[in-house]
Amino acid sequence: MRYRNPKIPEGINVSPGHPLRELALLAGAAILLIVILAFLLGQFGGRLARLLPFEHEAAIAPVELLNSDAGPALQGYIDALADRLTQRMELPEDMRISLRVDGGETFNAFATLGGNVLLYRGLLEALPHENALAMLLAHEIAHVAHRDPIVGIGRGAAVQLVFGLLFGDPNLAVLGSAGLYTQLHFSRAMERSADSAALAAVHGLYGHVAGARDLFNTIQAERVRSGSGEPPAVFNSHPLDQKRIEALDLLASERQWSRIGEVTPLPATFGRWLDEAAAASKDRSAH
Amino acid sequence: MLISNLELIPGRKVIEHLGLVQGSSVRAKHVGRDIMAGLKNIFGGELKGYTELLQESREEAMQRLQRQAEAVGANAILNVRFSTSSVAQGAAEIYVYGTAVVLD
Amino acid sequence: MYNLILFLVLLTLGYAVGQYAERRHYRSILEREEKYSGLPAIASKYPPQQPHYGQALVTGSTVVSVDYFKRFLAALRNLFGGRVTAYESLLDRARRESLLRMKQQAAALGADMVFNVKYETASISKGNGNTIGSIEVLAYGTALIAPPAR
Repeated sequence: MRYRNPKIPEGINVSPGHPLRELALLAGAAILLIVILAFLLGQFGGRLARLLPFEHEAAIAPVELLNSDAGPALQGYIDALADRLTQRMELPEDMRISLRVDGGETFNAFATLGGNVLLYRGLLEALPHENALAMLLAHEIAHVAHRDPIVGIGRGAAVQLVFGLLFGDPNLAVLGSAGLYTQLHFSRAMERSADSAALAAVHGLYGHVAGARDLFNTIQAERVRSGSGEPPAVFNSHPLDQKRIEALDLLASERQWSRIGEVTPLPATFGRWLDEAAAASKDRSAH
Repeated sequence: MLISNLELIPGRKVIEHLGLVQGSSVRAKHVGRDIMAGLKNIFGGELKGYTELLQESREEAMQRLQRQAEAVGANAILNVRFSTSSVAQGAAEIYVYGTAVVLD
Repeated sequence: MYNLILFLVLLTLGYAVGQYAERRHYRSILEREEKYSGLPAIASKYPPQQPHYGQALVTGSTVVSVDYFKRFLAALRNLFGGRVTAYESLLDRARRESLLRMKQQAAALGADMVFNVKYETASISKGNGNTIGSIEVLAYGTALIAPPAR
């Protein structure tokens, strides 16, 4: 009886093949899968969300969180301007726009559910003339008209739900960002289409589009002033300002809208109204 | 190649022991099977997906065991034992080992 | 953005260090297998009866851990199914190392062979979220020590 331990060759219990190649293959397939899945889910979620009737949107809008610091004069002025714009924008029957001004110094404005639009004093202060203000209002109203707020929520919710199920493994969390990139792309498309609709409305109101691009110049100037560098294009949900301006210039030249014309100045008391709103905001936060 | 979990084969004599040979296989399920298993958790029944997975895994491990035995020049593997362990969430390792021998 | 960068750094680190450590380990394993090839390890239960061997239970155990690269690769495999090649080499190393340590112990006792070799695998420290942290492999058997020749 002999007892031996002959040498066993390598490569039987260990698969040959370079691990990096396997990583490239699997990661590539995973990212492809995610991008396609996120795209499809986004579309599905968006379409589903769009079916929600507008009145119900108003019911779930976070109205309590929106501060209203505008005095009656300021509110009357912007409401009137908004009315003149909406007349030219073909809003659906049941849609009502509610404008609010927050006296805080944040430099921002957004449209949310139920036709509610919030404008911050910080941004309003920086606007040079009424045409820029009209462009801003028209842009936010266009978001409401396209139902972008509810669609955005629908898309985000669908993607998050499915990705949570699939990628529960914390090791794969990083792949979630690939899905995020697809969602940001939707947002950029929404912004672009709101820009075009807004430009059309401004042209309808004033007969020319002079001054509309000043809105973006103002935003860009503020970015430079506050020193916040632009994050890389793909991770920013708003397209770069320069690209937006170029897109609008292109649209204007296609439709042969004149870019020359007299800009309407803001009312003389506009500054005072904004100061009153700022004071109202301070009072509110003091309580 | 004779594979058996007997220690001694009746009627045959062991001429030479060639030591330990082993075969192992680690396989993961994919999300499809995972989702089906999740549903079965509600409705009950055999988890066919997992059964298949483990079967495939065992077959592969047995094949590797045989290859090792052939490589050392055996013509039988005796005293074969199985061992299953879960090495990660969703992946199971099937490990088979036995003594490679030369029978007369 | 920073999450992505951190992830890539960890991945590269895991890959570089992991691959280097693995190669070094395999070299050491092959060397020692060469060295102990005269001490057979047999899985059979019936040892030869002559001469009258002394016996001792010998064991060898190893705990090997996964690196970040392998962990990510295995997680991706979990999506698509198939062979988790990242863990194959890990388990192979752990088993061969344990066997060698057992043989080492047997050699220290002056044994001729080790009989009835068995393995036990356990996964220790599940790490975060039920993913594998490290694996322990135990090899044990009976060492047969020939009495000194008269």
